[in-house]
Amino acid sequence: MNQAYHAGVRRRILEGTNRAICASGVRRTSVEDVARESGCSRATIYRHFPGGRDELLDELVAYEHQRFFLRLSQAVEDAASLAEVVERGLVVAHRALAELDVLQIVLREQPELLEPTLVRASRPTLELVADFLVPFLVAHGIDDPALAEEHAGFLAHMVLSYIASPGRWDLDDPDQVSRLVRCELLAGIEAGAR
Amino acid sequence: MRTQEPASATIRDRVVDASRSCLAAQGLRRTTVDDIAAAAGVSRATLYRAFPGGRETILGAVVATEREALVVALRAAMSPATSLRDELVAGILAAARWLSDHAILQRLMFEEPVEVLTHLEFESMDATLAVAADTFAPLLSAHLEAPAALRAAEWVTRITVSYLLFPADGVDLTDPDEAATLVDRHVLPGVEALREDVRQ
Repeated sequence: MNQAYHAGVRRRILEGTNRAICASGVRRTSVEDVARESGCSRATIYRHFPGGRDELLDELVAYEHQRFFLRLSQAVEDAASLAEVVERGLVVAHRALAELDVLQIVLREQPELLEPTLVRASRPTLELVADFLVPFLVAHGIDDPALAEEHAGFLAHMVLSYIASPGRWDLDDPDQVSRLVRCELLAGIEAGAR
Repeated sequence: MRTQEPASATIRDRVVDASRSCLAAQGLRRTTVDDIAAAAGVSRATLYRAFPGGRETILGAVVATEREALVVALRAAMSPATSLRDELVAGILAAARWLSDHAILQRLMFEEPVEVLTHLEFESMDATLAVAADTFAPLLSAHLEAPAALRAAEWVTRITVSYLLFPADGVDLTDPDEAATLVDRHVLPGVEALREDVRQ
C-alpha cells in the first residue's frame, strides 16, 4: 500500500469521525458510526487506527489542529504588510474556529479529549506562529534578530490568546480588528521600529 | 449556646478554607461536597444551607476568595508606584509571582491541566477576562481614565496569563527586569495607543 493512499484513507476515516460526532455527539459515536460515515469497513478502521475509538478521537483532535493552522498560514501567506498578516490571521482563525462544530461539541461533552493537544501542542504551535512572523518583522524594519524574535513571540502569544478567547472584541468586525491590532498588538513594535 | 452552629459568615470561611485544603490534597476532580463538609467539620445540611448551589457554588466562592487575595496583593504592590509605568511593572510582577507561587493552582496545572486550561481558553476565559478587567481597572485609575483603564486591565491580564501558561525566553514576568522590559517595549506604547483610541 503506498503512502499517499494510506494518508487518503486515514483522512477519509477522520473526516467520517468528525461527521459522526457532529451528528450524534462524542459519547454516542462508535466505530460502527465512523465506518458508516466514512464508507470504510470496521476492519479497515482498525487497521489504520488499532486503538479503535479512543485513537480515532485523539487523532481527530490532532488532525483538526493541524488543518486549522494550515488554513491559517494559507490565508496570510500573501499578505503585504505586518498589520495585514496579523489582522487577516485573527479574522480567518476566528471564523475557522467558530465554524469548527466538532470543537464546540468536544468542549461541551468531553473537554479532556483536548488535553494532549492543549498540553503538548501549545508550545510548538506558539513557536510555529512566531517563526512564521519573523520575516514580516524583518521586512517591517526590525533589524536586530533577537528583537525580531522577541516581537514575534509577543505577537504569537497575543494572536493565539485572541483567537481562543476574543474577550470584548468582535473579530467579525474589520474596524474593531484593525483597532485591536494597532493598539494591543503592534503599538510596541511600531515604537521600536521608529 | 455551645451546641449551636457558628454564624453563617464563619461557616462560609470554614468551608472555603476546607475546600482549599481538599483541593491541595486531592485535586479538583476528586474533591466532593462530602470531603469538604468533613474537612470543615459541618454537616451536609449546614453546608447546603450556606451554599445552596452545592459544589459549583463552593468552588465559585473559593475562586472569589482567591481573587480578593490577589487584589489585596496587587494593591499593596502597586500603591507605592508614582507613575503609570511603575504601576504596570509592579502589578504584572506581583500578579505573576502570586500566581506562580500559588500551590493549589500549580498543582492543578500539573495534574489536571485540562480543567485549568479549558477555563483559561475559549469561552470561560472571556468570562474570566471580563471579571479580571472589572476587578483590576480601579487599580490603574490613578493614572488612567476609566474606559482606557478597563481596556488596559483586560489586555494586561491576557498578557500575564499568556506568558505564565507559555513561558518564553527573556519574558519571565516574575523577574523585575524582564517584567519592566515587557512593559517598556509593549505595554506602555499599547496603553498610549489605546488611550488615544478610546478618546476618539
